[in-house]
Amino acid sequence: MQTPQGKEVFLGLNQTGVIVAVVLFLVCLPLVWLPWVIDSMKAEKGAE
Amino acid sequence: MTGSRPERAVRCVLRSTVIAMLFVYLFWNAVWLSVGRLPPSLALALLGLPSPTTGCTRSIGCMFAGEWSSALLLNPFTLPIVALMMTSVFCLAVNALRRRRVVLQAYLGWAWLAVLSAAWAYKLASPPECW
Repeated sequence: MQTPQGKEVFLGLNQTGVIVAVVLFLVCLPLVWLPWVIDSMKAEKGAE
Repeated sequence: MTGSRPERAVRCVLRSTVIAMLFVYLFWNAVWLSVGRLPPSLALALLGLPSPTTGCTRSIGCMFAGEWSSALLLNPFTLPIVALMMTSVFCLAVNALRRRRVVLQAYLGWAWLAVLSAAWAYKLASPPECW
């Protein structure tokens, strides 16, 4: 799994993570936690 | 805040969208639960389209009643989704107990993508009476 990457957009997620979270919010909320446990969707620590 | 102006604007829009979605979701559920009914799929109500997991709850109900053909018709991906959910929760719990970073292994991330994509394609291709 890739390491966390990119700037933080919201609650520790990078842009991809937030987009995936929004899609999951709309289509399948019980899975909205997934972006927070997938490294490539998390923002680099200290990158803002 | 760093980044160029368009970058900051995109981040601001994304943040606002997540917060707005959270409120929409809470309101939707509160309204349905207040009238004593289980909330229907938000995607189906707002977009008129099924989500990858639409029919899973009814499918599980059919499985418990022994109606396997109805369960498969409602959502044939219910068992893979439930299995993936249990595997993911187990792996995350093991990582947390061993004081490792609580993240999914790469293969589980790809498995989620594959199962949800296949489930969504199936639901969109199936007739509306099966949604």
